[in-house]
Amino acid sequence: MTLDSLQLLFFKNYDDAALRLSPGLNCFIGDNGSGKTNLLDAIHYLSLTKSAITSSDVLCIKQGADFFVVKGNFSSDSDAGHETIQVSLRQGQKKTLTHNKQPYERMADHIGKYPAVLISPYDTDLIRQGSEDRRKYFDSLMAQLDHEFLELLISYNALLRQRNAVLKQGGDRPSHGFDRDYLLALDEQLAPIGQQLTALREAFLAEYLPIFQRHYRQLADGREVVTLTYKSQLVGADFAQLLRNNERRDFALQRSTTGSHRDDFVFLMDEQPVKSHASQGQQKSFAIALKLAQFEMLAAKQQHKPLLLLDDIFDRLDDKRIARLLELVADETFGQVFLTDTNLERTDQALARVTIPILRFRVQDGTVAPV
Amino acid sequence: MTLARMEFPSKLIENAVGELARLPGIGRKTALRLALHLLKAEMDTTASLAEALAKMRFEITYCRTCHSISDAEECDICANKLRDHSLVCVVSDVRDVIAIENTGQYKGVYHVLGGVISPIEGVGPSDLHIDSLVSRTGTEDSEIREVILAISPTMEGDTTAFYLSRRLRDLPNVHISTIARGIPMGGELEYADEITLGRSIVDRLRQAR
Repeated sequence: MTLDSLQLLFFKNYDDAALRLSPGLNCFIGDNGSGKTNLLDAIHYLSLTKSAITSSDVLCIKQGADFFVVKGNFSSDSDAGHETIQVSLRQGQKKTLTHNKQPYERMADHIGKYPAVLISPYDTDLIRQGSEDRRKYFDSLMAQLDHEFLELLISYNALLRQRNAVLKQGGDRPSHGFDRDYLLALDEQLAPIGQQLTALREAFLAEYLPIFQRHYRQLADGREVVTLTYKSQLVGADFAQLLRNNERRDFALQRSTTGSHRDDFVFLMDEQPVKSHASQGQQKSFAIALKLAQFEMLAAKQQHKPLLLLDDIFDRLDDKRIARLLELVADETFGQVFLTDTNLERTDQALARVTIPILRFRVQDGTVAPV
Repeated sequence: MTLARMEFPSKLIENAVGELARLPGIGRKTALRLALHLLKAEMDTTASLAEALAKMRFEITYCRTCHSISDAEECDICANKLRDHSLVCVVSDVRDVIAIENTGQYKGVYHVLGGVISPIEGVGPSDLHIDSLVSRTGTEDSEIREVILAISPTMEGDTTAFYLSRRLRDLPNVHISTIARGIPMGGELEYADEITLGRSIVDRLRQAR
């Protein structure tokens, strides 16, 4: 799968930009704040229907404009057909996503069809931030790998919102004698879905872990042993029973205190938490290994390679890790690659041994042009 | 110029357009077209329209048994001795009664809930006609033997069905069923959504020999 061209309209700091892309390596060179990362984010939109950076779609509309459009033309290696994906948002309206001008009824139907992997300096946030970030990261990856997981997750979240609304209403009027069947009717649906999510997350980790560990060893060449464990209240437990046991507490707190939405993935190095025991360098290797394992799993599942987005890696990573990444670029482990940097000479030096076709773009104040 | 700020040549037209545009599915443009149409037509047209609407609103009642729309205290379906009163079909609103009646396949009676349970929108079981269903099914002399849950398979609909099953399952001698889900007639398999198709494989029907 190759992204042949990209068009932006009022997206972030761009008024109007259009570029033809190389099937190999694409380098966006420009100063800080010029809009390099925004180009990667636009590609992220085409792949995952949302920004990698901000959780609010409206913030992606250029100031002063009232809509944005991101459009990409894809071609696949196997057949000659072109596919156009377009994401657009008008202020106050719903985001729309079209495939060859046909709107999708549900964004979820698009997820996983045009995979992309972003490696950015912020990846180490996954180690440092709370469980929600890690859960979201693995949920997003699993959703791309397995549509059934995505459907279950959507149902789970919708039921959980309903359950919390019931708890809130019940908690607000305890004197009225709350109708317990009301809660049980929701739990009856929630319990089997939570149990399925746990089984799928366990199975996913069993497959992902060895791939991740191999990538870490290649990046870090240290003796430390890294691992990920899945932590869930639901492992080896009966979720329906857990919900019953915690009913009183849930009503008191007016939210659901047990369930799949409390799962975590624990990052360990020599059996100690990575967050507190790993060096900066080890944390960076850990984060990149997570992403490379993600790439490998997506590539294996899809039979075509995900787009690889490398944000600001020359500035933030040390030479050894950059060298390892570029080795993978050079030996064509990756397909189409997009990278950003502030310095054209440095990029050229780093890419001297890369033989795949390269296109360079100069990014300046919301404009982009081939060098 | 947007129509909302449109100057009308007459205050009377403006009022009529304003009222019509409050109806669902009718914008100000359509409202103006309707108003101008009535203005052109015979005066009787407007008079009979206004009378029909007012009569409907003021005189219609809801059936005391099934809560469907009715002209009398008991609706025609509930009052019909020829229908099978051991069979109750539970639906969320009157439109569903009309849809099922139009199939001509159902000879039982109905129970209209008046909506579905939606905690997020603040609609709980006590806001619907659920207690009357339970009491109607559970009395000593009740002749009801089967309750068919015919509620749309949305998330709220499913929650409503789960809730009703809980409330009704302790009643002796009452069988609870739900309408079948599957491939629409005349539909192409390849265009069916995965969930429906998967479900219709799981719930497949055995062919009669």
